[in-house]
Amino acid sequence: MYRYDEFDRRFLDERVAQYRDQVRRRLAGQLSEEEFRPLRLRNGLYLQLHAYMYRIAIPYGTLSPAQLRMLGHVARKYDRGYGHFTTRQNMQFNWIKLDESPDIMADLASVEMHSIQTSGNCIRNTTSDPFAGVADDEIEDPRPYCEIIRQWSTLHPEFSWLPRKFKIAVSASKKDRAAVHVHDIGLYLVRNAEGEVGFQVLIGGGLGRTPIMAKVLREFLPKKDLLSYLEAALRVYNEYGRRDNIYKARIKILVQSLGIDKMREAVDAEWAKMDHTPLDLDNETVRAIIAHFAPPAYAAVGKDDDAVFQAAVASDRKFARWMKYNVAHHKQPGYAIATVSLKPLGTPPGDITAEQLDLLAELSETYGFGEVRVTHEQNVVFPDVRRSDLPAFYNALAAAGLGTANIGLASDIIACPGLDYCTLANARSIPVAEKLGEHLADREEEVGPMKIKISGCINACGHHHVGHIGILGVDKNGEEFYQITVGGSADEQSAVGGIVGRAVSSDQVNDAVDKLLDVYVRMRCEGEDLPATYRRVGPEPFKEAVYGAH
Amino acid sequence: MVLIKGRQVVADSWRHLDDSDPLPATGAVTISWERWTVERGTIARPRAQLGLRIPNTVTTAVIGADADHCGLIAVAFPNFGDGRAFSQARVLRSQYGFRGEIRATGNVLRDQLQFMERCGIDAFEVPERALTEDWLAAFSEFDLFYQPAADSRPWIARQRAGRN
Amino acid sequence: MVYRTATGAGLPGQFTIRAPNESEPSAVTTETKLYAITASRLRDGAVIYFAGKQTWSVKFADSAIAPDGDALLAEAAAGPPPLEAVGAYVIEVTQAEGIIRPVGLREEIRAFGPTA
Repeated sequence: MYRYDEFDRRFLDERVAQYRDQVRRRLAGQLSEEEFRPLRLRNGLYLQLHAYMYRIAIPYGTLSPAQLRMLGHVARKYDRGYGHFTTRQNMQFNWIKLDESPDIMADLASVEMHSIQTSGNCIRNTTSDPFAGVADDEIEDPRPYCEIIRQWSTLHPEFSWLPRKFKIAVSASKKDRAAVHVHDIGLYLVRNAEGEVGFQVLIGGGLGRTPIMAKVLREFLPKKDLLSYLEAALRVYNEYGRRDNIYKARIKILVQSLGIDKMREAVDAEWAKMDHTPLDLDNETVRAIIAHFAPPAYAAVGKDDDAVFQAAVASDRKFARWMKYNVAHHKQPGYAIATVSLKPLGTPPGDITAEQLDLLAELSETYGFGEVRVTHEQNVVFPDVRRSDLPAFYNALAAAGLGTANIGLASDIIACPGLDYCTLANARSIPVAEKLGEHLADREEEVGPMKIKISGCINACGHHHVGHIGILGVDKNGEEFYQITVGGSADEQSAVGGIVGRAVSSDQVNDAVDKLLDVYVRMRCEGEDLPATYRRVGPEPFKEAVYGAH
Repeated sequence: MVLIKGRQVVADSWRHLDDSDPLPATGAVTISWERWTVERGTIARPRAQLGLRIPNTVTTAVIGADADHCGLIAVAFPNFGDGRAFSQARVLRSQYGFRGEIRATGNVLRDQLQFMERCGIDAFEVPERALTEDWLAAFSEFDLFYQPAADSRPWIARQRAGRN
Repeated sequence: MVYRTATGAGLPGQFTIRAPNESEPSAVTTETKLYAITASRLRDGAVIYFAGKQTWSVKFADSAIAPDGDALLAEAAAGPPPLEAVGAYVIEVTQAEGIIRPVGLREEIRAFGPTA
């Protein structure tokens, strides 16, 4: 993974000093709340329902053991012993004090972490495929380009006061595990007809109030042009993006109103006027970054490896189930990608305790090369587990309550913090997720792959639009109701789900979801996921199941 | 208002005319962009005596074409969250080679000064009551930067490659 | 400004969150609406309530309540210390048998903590 050099370290020290001074000025009354708010937001500090919430960037989801332990330390020392992984591969702490926040930032800096630009109308943390570097279907490791973008976008002087937040995702696999289509800019590493690797550039995707799938801005962008082209696109957005209405300020609205062709013309015109030279990525720079992501020293497959593993599958039903759902194919023979579920039944999705963070750190050293990845589905990936180690690894997880075998199943629900923590929320998400997960656990194997996503308000942090089943909390005269959508998808087939009907009360959610699943199970063809069935049969059978004939 | 230029508080040598004020025969004056667009044909003035106050809604291409006529361009930050003028300044410097003064006006925050300076803004109008000693320190809070901008400061990728 | 401070009932442990489709507690409430003032405490973000006499409290039960919310807010804003309370606003409360409660799930959660 990327390790800081002296420049990165000194830069971060300067940022900590700056922030410490900003907090000092606020506490001394030299800054008003209005003036201070954007400054703290640019350092990831929100004022939420019960306390400050601190959002820490996890660049493209990658964490080292030292970083995991530091998050555990922050949870223990400054919070209530736990943290929360978000749908953007970040970590949030919910019970933070303003006057301690500079100390947290300094502690994080000691392990090469920060919270810069995790909020505010600026370029946010770049996200990526949690299987990057180990997926068997990727063209090239996307992480070096994420890191290049991270550095370029950090305290960018021109693009730190944009019309609205700006999210970039990079992926290099046919199978999209990074929800690239719902980002302001999405980048796919692709190969052109000449065999050269570059980027397909998508623009204008996003969820929130107006869910829109990104459109292709450029079919092929040579690697060396990555930053100059991004700069041209961002400049067009900074200049023309709407600022009169917060709900129309994302770049997706600009792309929608101009049309993708006009948008392309505008970006190309700006790009043509710019001097690219300072931003051109030269091979030397790229090679130096790529070197940080070199594959680890994989061991050769031992002749007994498979026997150890097969014996465990045969003798331990729980392990066999975990193997089936939580373990994915690795490009290196003898290795596997294992996903640790942070969705044990009846707990808030994505929550993790300080002790569990410490354990994951230890396990990543024992069963891997000291690296884990956080997924946008709020789970944790161990990218390099030897297949022969899987039984022992599973047992260690299970002993700590982390052995839930439900990845990709109905109880692997993603959810935002909702009204229990968030000032924006209209309704609670966590209790709905907990109850629904428990309710569906008995039938989830019969249902098969299923993505249920819950947001507590229209801002859609829980990605409800792109859930196979999406649940959106709404407020009706002070009571919580939930609007249900069906058929959404966040993968390469990306689609926004259709609204099933009028919102239901919280105690009707489980029943409504059951009925939707009944329709899917009854009507699906072999190998179809729910969005595919929905595309084929249309919305009517689903509507009828929940609301009766009409 | 206090003017910061060259990282110090200086006297403002420009007169800022209302649209109804007659244009004096000599002296450094700024006029609004609206007035300029109407009267430009009749204004013959050395560059050093003409400044334009531009709203942040005028596109950089339009301003850039007229930048040659003036020695000062005042860009506007109607509120601190509206960052259009960062791009206006950067483009004026980087694409049109504007060498006159670019002055930030409006709701200028201390904590934005270094960003503004990197985008090519070299003068800052600040409310007198807001100005404290530590405003001037804001220009040097960072001495490392991850990207090139309109200034000549080195940036990290180049420094790493030993090329400054 | 005349206000009443609620008695020390209504502590966190005694309060349960209503399911959305349950009706309001049936206890008789006063005819005129009552209001309190809440804010976040600057240094730690804690939920605080204006308790009258230029003081703020982390306990909901300490809230000063009055029928004129705006006047109460003005009074809260007037007093020192000026920095303590961030984003003060008026909330509606009910009072029955000397116990005050916030109106609405959001304020219940702010007053008594997350439900899950």
